[in-house]
Parts: sequence; structure tokens; C-alpha cells
Amino acid sequence: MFNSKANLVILAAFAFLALAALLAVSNGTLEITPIQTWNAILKGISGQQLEGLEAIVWNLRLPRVAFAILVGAALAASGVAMQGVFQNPLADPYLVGVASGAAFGATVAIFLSSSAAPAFAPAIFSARAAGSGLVPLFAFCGAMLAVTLTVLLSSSAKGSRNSLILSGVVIGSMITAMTTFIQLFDADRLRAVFSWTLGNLALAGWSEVLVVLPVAVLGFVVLLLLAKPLDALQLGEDTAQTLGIRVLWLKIAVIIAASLMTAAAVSFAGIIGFVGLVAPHVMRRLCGAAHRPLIVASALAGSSLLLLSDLGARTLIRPQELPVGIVTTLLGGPFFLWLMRQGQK
Amino acid sequence: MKLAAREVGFAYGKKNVLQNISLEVQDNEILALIGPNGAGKTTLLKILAGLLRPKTGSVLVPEPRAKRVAYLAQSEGLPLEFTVLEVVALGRLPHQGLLANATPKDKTLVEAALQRTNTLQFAKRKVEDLSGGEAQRVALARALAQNPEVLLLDEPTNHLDLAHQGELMALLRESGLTVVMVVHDLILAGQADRVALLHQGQLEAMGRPEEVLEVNLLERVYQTKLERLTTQDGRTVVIPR
Repeated sequence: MFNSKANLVILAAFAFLALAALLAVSNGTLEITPIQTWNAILKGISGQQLEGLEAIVWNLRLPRVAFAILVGAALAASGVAMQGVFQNPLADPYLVGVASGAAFGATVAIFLSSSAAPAFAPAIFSARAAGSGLVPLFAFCGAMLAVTLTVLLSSSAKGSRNSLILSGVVIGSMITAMTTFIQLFDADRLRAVFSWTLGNLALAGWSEVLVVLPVAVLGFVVLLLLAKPLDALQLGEDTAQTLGIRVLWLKIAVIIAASLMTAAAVSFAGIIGFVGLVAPHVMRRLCGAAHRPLIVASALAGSSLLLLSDLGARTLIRPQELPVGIVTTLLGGPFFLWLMRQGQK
Repeated sequence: MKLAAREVGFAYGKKNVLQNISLEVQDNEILALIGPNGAGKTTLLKILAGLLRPKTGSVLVPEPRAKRVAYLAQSEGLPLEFTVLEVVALGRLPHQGLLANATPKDKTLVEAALQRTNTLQFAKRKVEDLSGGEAQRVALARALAQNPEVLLLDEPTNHLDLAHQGELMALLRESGLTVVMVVHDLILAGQADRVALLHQGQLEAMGRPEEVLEVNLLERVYQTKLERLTTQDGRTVVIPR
């Protein structure tokens, strides 16, 4: 499908992910034997009655593993896409306002569900605790609203090469200011907001997987279709245009596809940093920079990265859990610095 | 005739860059665009390439442009982590469908472009490992892989040593393409079929090299003292005095 080296890297990344998934399913707060794990999976698939610990495997661990794979893949693939659009390896999925928009949406949802909510807040809000189904919905809408504003603002400022980044920064700052303002009003709920922001896969069940899956697949397919034009964009906007590419539309399409994936992922999982940066960076070295293989390889690497980080998050200080966003950043940060040093040698 | 400009004018904001430019490029002709910095050479080339829309007048260009006209920007920034082969293969993009899968014809044309630019031997190398001259030949190979009828080149010899400059001219000649190239080197301009001299956005002169490379004219336009020589094989050369 791709060149032989890229094929090999993708195959290896897939095998690694399979091993990581096995490891993540069979480890956790409780000791569960491989046989019990295997039985649980078989019974779960065939719809039989689950017994004891098997329920933990099928209802908690497996969906969490599946969700980590999905979110990691979405973040890494959209990282590659953003880096391609901005022709900058340091771009990440959050560059055009997804993170600040999602945080705003989540904060609004959490605030409206609190006792401090104004009287006009509908009754359903007060009935639900933070972390209810409204938080992901609001986070998703907030993220897409921020991205839409960024794209609209940048297209009204024609001609400037950096207008997308600039409007992303402006919109992001303004939204963050509003988020902070709301948080000031309601210090009681600050903890809930923070724990969402730091990223957590603990709430993931099969229903969350089924909501995010179609969005992620759709975004992934769009990005794969736009991979070659993204390659051409790396020759410079002028050259890309003479190759028949409508540069502005390409950028907008890629940004929307990547943002949809990211928004769907973070609205349930919180703002998980570094996956969209580290996974593409590593894979670019291993399988080259052509976008089609790079998107696939990075998605697999991002899945492994988030899966192992989440395994760390739920086992490092058991029986308590760390927010997975902290693990990815604390592991990813030093790793990234190490890679940079390697690159300079 | 495939390529022409008719009374083309262009301005960046209120600053007029081109005024009333009319020129016709014959098929299979190599036309050199010369002129001092800021004369409007690159702007005219970009208008022919479809990157800029003329404010007044019009251009005649083969359509669909992406399939029939290749454009090589001034020091085209190639992506460092791509291989030479990947870069050159992008020249086939206008001819490919949505999935952009390479056909045998694509592969043949890419390989031919690599061969003609003498870059086949490092096709698997990454761009970051190339010298300036090698990168420039790779950029040209990308344009040739497009299999165009018209080639628009902006200072294609910038990073090329003498031998490769000669090779480039020979390659352009034997390709039989219609070529418009912006050059600063008046010696190189002397090897074109015709030369167009731009000055302050206007077409000052156009004709065969020995007609345009004329000392009084060029001294006035370039504001510097020049001397004209004729080589043993009859080529016209203008050099600073």
C-alpha cells in the first residue's frame, strides 16, 4: 500500500498496540487472571451472563481500553493533520481553539448543574451532578464553536499567512478568559472542572465508545483522502496551488475534520496533552513524512501511548487514580526533550 | 501559440507593479524575463501561473492549467523530511484522482523526470541531505513530472554551478517545452530564444538576445556601466564594466 519501510513500521506499530492492549486489559487495581480475562471477553462477545470479576473486565476494562485506543488515535491523527496544515511539526490538535472551547463548554455545563446556577437554568441541570452526559455535549459544542469562530475570523483577514494561528490564539484567549470568569463565580465546582480538564478515561463505557467511534472514523477517512494534497502543501502554498489544489479549502477541510475528531475525543476524555505531538514526531522519523502512511502509523502510536499512559494512571498509585493527562504530559515531556537531543546529534 | 499576455496590469494595493504588458510566447520557445529588482518579473510569472489575477487585461494560458502548466517558485522550499522520490511524484497529483494512487504511466514519467535532471541516483535520499544545487534539480524534476506544455521558472539557476547551468539550458532546449524563465544572469539570458526586458512594471524591450542585450538600453535600465562582448561562436554577452 505504501512504501515497504512505512508498511513495516505500520505493521510493527500495530503489533505493539495489540500487546499494549493485552497488557492493559489484564492489569489493574484488581488481580484478574488471563483465563478469567479471556472468558470474560468470550462471554461478553457472545452475550452470555458474566460472573464476578468477568464483569469488571467486560464492563470496565475493555471499554476503557477501547476508548483509550480511539482517543489516542484521534489525537495523534489530528496532530499530524494540523502539523501538515501549518507546515510546522510543533502544531497540535488544540492550535485552533478546540481545547479552550471544550473547556468552556464543560465549565458551563458543570456550572449550570451546580447550586450556584442562576434561576433561569433549566431544572435538568440541577438534578444532575457534574460529569453527567451534558458535560461532553457542551464540551463538544464549545470546541466546534471555537474552531468555527477561528476559521471565520481568519478568513475575514485575507492575505495574512499566519491568520489562522493568530485568530486561534485570540479566540482561545478570549474563551479562556470567559471560562476563568465563570469558574471564579463558583469555586465549589472548580475541582470538577479541573479533574475534567486534566483528562480522565475512567468514565468511558461502551456507550461512550459508540458515540466517539463514528466521528473518529469519519474524520480519519477524510484526513486519509486529503493526505496527498497535504503532501503537496508542504511544497509551499504557491506550488500547491499550481498543482491544482484549492489551498484555503484544503486547510479548512483538514482543520474541520481534525477538530471534529479531537472535539469528540476530548469532550469525554478531557484535555489530554502531548499525544498529538509525540506520536507524529516519533513516527515521522520511523516511516517518513508522507501523510498517508504517517496518519495511519501515528494513529497506532497515539493509541499505544494513551493506552500505556492510562494503564500507568490507574496502577501507579493504586487503588487511587492519576488523571491520564498528567501521565501523558509527565512522560511525554521528558521523552520529547530526549528526542530533540537525539535529533541534534 | 499557447501563452500570451494582453495589456496586463497589476497593483499591490495602490502600488502599480505592472502596466499594460502585452507579449506573446511562441510554442517551444525559451523566453528569458530580465530586469532590475522590483521590475515586476516574478509578478508577471505568477500571473501566468494563475497565482495572481491581473487587475486589468488578460492572459492566454493552456487549460486546465494544473495539468498543462508547471511553475517553479524562486528557491522552492522543499519539505526536508520527504524523500526526493516523494517530492517528484507530487508532480503527478494534477493527473491523479481522489485517491491519488500512482499508475504505471505516473511511475514512468516520474522516473523520466528524475533521469533528465540527473537526480535518479539519489531518489531515495531525504531532501534535508541534499545540497542547494541538488535540491534545485529535484524541484525542477517535480515540475517536469507534471508533464506540462508550458514551464514557468523563477530563477531556476540560483543554486546551480556552471556545469549544471549548462545542463539546465540543454535540458530545456531538448524538452521542446514552451519556457518562460525569470533570470538575473544576463549571460544566461543570452542563451534564450528571446528576451523580454521589464523596467518599472513596463515592457521596455522584447526580441532576440542580440537586439535586447544592448548596452545603452541596459545601462539606462540597470543604472550601471556595462560592456558588450561577442563570443567566438557568436553569442552576445553583457557584463558589468
